[in-house]
Amino acid sequence: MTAARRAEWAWIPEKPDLFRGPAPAPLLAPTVRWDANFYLAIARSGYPERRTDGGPVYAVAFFPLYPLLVAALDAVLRKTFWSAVVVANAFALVAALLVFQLGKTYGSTGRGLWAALLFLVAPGSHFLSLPYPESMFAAFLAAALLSLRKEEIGQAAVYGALASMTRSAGVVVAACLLYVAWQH
Amino acid sequence: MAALKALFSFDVAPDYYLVRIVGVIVGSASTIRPQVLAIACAVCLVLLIVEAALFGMGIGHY
Repeated sequence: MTAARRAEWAWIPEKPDLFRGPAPAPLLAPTVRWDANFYLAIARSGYPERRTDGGPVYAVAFFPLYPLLVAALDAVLRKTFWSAVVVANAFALVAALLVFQLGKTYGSTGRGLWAALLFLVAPGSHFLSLPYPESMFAAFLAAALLSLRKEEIGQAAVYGALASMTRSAGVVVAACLLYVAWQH
Repeated sequence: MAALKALFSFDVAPDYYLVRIVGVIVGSASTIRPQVLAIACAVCLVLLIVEAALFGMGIGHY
């Protein structure tokens, strides 16, 4: 990565809601806002080095698994924005299927379908389709909860670890594991 | 405690709510009557369209 390329992706504090790098396709432009800038920048050029002025490096608040997968797909497709959207939407589909399976364990197939439908129409569900890691996190969280329902504790721990690599809230799986351990 | 206070006073970005509701959704779907769920889905869909439009226009809110 050249210095010029790195500068192209530099965060502009005065314009946190604008994408400052090379323009995405017009169809995707409205989806590249706020945190998406950080994830795409990390996917393209990794985490930035410590600032010389001692100021905060905001990118370190964004967990690595999603940008890692985006970077891997980008290495094949050579289209960062599309890679980010493809990864997010693929995990959205997986998450919806897992929520369906999870709902089914609490009742009928119909209950599973209601759970998946509620998940997909929740007022924040547009984030599942954006260059954000929400769908990936939801998929790992649902997989962990499903594993716990089946009392596959080791598998749940692995999914919990993956969720924790995606977002800080993944630590909630540890609370679930402790609850299950306490029940036994 | 500050994080919890921010969450319940609706003082965090909308994506933070989404990642915390998988369990709540499954619990709701397994206990609430289908008629009520249908109404909830319709209301959620309207709010989802509003949220998506605000995001697409770059209008941030908490």
